[in-house]
Amino acid sequence: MNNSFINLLKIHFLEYKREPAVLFWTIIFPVALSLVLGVSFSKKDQVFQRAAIIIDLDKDNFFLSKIKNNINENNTLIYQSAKGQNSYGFHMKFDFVNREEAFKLIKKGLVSIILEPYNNNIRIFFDKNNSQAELAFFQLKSFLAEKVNVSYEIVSEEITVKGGRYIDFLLPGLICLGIMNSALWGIGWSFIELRIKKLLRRMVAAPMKKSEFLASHFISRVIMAAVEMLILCLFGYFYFNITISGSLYALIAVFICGNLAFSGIAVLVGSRAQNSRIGNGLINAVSIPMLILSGIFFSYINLPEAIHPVIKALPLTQLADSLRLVFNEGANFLDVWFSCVYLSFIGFMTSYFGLKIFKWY
Amino acid sequence: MKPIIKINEITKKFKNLTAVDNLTININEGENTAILGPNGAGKTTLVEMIEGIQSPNSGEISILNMNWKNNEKELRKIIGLSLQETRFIDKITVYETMLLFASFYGLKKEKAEEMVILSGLNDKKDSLTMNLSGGQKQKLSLGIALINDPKIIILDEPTTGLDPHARREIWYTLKEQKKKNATLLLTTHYMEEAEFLCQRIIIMYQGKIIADGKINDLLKYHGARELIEFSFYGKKEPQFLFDLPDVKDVNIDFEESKIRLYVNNISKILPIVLTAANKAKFKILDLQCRKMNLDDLFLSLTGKSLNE
Repeated sequence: MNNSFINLLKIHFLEYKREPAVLFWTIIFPVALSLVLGVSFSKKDQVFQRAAIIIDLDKDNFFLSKIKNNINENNTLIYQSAKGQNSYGFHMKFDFVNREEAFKLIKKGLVSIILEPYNNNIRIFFDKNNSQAELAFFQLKSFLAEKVNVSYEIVSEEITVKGGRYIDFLLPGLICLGIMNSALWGIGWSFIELRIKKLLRRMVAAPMKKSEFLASHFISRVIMAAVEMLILCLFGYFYFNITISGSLYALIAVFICGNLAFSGIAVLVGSRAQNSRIGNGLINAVSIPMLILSGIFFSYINLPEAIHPVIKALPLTQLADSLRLVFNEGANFLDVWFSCVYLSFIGFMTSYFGLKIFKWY
Repeated sequence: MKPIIKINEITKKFKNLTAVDNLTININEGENTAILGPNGAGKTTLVEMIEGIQSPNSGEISILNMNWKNNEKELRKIIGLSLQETRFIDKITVYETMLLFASFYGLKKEKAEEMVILSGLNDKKDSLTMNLSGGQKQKLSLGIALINDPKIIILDEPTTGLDPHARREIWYTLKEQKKKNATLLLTTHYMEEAEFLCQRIIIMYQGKIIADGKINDLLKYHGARELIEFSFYGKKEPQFLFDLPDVKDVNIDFEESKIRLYVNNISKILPIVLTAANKAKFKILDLQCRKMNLDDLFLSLTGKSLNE
């Protein structure tokens, strides 16, 4: 039995096996990156702060009115301590939301601390292992002491257990980054390289079935991305105690649709380029803006709100946001179906146009 | 012999350049045909149109009464081809590459093994293609072209850049394949290759055919079979050469200070040339007399060498 599809698929894996650098960049590098960033961002301070304040619409609260007296029209507190040797200031933007929404925001990494007023006290929720959250707490503490004069209770367990840490935010992002890079370089670049070598035209003239050629690229990349995701998940579980709180089916659906989207984009990117400079440029032009804007390493919430709709329309943002929902917020398929449809749509449309203009010869 | 490839008034243009200009030829079944011409003559464009890799702007190509628009699948199965330049997947071995291409034709593993041996690459069977020499890569390319026992073999400069030994090895592999009565069409810069492998020669220049036929017929048609070649000093045209009897053509190359006289009978003409030169006090240097070859024919037709 000498099946052409099996042979095409086998060749992708033989290339991996014989090119150890590929294995390093696709598997070991993301794990190392998650380790370095996950550990270092539990030690490093950051400047920008966002906090959620839980509001109960039925009750007027003493604390809320005090806070509202101290913030500007953008709900931002601009605090400067009394002048002196240890004088310091900070900016903190507040989101006034209900309890459920507040916990969703912290899990998405959109706020680092939650304040919940009750009676004349407040409960403060934050992750003590998250230095950004801890800094926010200390900043708030001096503000509360000076301006509000309210007693507080710290609740950190609920946050640390359910994944409000930076690594909980980072790990799904790295999986998405892996899917994007795997498709763009593994499929898009592979097409360009085969075209540069004039091997693509030779294979088509052989005659190779184009459908088998495309399918072998897609399947080999899905398998590699799945292996990469599995290794990252295992590493996250054993080193950072990260678990998938949502549905496994939802995770698989998001993963497959993300691969579809980026495979389609890769087909489009690799459809015509005939030299490495154009190929490199095209791939970078597609991947770098998404890498910067889609909130892989840091939340896009601090970027200007005017561009948020654009950011949310990016496939990497859709993929990362929905994967984080599954990982950190216990989402099931119904919570991510829109992203799945959107990603699949992007995948089908880009591959349709890519194949329309594809230069096989 | 009946035509297996019919090319009717095809033209191919790239922006302002006409690579193939209203060309009509038939290639006969079982015939070995070489297309010769310098770089840019349109050889590769012509064979790539025959291979279905490029489409003509106008005109028709029919192969066994089929065409690329309607019969691509059938045509791919009966054609074996080797492109002017093909690189392989670096980290894949010779055998794996052969196996992959065999599978495209639905052939068994045994066929891939047979072709590795036939291509003379058995000792390199497990070598990665990135570690092959230029000649070995060409052998692999030829093996792939022949793997489906094609009725029509189209090779675009199969031995360009190879040393004479590697070139001859490829010629003998092709001679072996010819026993299966395939039709061979190749492009080449090398007249020896054309003479060794092919009965019919087509010479292309600037997208057109300027000569077509058997080697001897072409030389005969040109009216001369032999050549007297010598060097000279000075920049003045030696007028007496044009007045000599039985000299078919005179080619003077002032850049290289060389003169070529196209004649039919060297032994008869040479004493006349030497006497006339002596009388005109013209000094002849590096005298050579030989039979005309295709390069000489091309030079006499276009004023340029095939290898330019």
